[in-house]
Amino acid sequence: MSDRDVERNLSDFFRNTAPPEPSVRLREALTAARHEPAGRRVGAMRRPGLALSLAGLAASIVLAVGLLVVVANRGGRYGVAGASPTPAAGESASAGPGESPSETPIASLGESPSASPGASPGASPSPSVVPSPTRDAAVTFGPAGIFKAIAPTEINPTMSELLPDGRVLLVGGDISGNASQLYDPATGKFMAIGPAAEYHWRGTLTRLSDGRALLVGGFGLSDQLATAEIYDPATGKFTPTDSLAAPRVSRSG
Amino acid sequence: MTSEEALAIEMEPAVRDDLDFARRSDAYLSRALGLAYYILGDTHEAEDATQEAMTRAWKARRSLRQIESFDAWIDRIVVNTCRERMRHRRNVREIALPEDVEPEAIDRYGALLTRDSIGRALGELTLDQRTVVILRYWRDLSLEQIAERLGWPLGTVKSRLHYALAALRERLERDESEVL
Repeated sequence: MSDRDVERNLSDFFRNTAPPEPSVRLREALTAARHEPAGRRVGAMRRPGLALSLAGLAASIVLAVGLLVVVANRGGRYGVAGASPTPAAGESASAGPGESPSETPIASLGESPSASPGASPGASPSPSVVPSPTRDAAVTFGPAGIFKAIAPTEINPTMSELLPDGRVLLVGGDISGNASQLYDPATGKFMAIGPAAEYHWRGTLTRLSDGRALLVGGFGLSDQLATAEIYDPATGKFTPTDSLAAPRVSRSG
Repeated sequence: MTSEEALAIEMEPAVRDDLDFARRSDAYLSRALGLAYYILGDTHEAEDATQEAMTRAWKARRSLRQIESFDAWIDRIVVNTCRERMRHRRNVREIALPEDVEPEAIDRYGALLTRDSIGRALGELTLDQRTVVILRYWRDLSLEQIAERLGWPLGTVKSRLHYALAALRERLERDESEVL
C-alpha cells in the first residue's frame, strides 16, 4: 500500500462521513454569548472630570439632575472611576473598566446590592473594578459619587427610558425570556409589564411627546430587527407598529 | 445604495465590526464544528468544544487584526480548545455505561467514525497528527495554510503528516492482513 492509497482512503472517508450540523442549542448558546454585555464606557456624568465606567451594564438613565439609575447584569463587574481628563480611548470596547491607568476610583459598589441594601462604600481607594453581584441588580448613582442599592431586578434590560410620570421603563430581558419592567423611584420597586411582542436587544427606546415610548429594532434572537413597537403607560402594553425599511441597532453603548 | 449599505454607514464602526464578525462566525460554524468533531470523534464533545471556542473567539474579537485571517484564527482557537479538552479528558476517569445502553444511540456519529477501519486508524493517531490529516484531507488546505493555522513551522507540519500517513498505512495493512 502506498501513501497515495492512504490519501485516497482518507479522501473517501471524509467524503462519506459528513460531520454533524450545528444544533439549534449550539446556535442559540452562541447568540446568547454575544448578548452578554462586555465592558464598555457608558458616558460621563455632567460633572467636570468625572466619568462613569461600568462593565456588565445593561441600562442606565438619568432620573433627575445628577441621579443615575444603573442596572447591571449578572456576571458583570461594577466600577466607577473619576477621570481627568476623560480619556477618549475609553470608548474603545477593548479597554475594560478600571484598566485605564488614567482613571482613579472614587467609589465602588462591592457586594450584591441585594445583600447590602442601601449601603455602599463611599470612597474606596482601590480597586476601581469590583466583583459582580450574584444576581441582577439595580443601583442609583448620586451626585456625591456614591452608589446606592435599590431593589434587585429580575430581568436583564438593555434599554431604558424615563416616562412622564417619573417611572423608568426597562426593556430587553435576556436570551431566556423577553421581559420588561417599570421602576418607580417613589417606591423603589420594580413591576413586570408587557412583554414586548419580540425580543429586542440593544434597539432604541424613545419617549414620544404623548408619553408613550417607541421601541425600535435591535438584535432579535438571530439577526437584526426592523420591527417596532409602542409602549403605552396607560394600558401597560406593547403594540407592534410600522416597521423600518431596514434593521438597525442602537448607536449608543 | 442598498439598504445594507445605508445601514453600514449609519452604524458605529464597533457595532458594524461586531455584526460582521457575528455573520462570519455563523457562516463558519459548520466548519468549526466539523473540525472539532473529527478531532474529538464525538458529537456532543464537539458541540461543547465549538461553543467554547466560538465564545472565546467572540470575546477576543478585537484582537483579530485582519478580518481576512478570520478562518485561520478561528481554526486555531478550535484546535487549541480541543487540545485542552483532550488533556482534560485524559485526567477524567471513564465511567462504564450500563449494559443496556446502546452506545450508537448516544453518539451515532462517533460510531460512524469508528465503523470504518480508516476512521479507527485516525482515532489512534496523536492529536497533532490527526489535526494535520483533517486539515489536509478534509479541508483540502495546503501545508503552508496548515502551518499558519497551527502556528507550527512548515517542516513540523510536513513531518507530522509524513508520520501520520505512515501510521495510517501500517494500520490499514494490518487490518487487511487480518481480513485475509
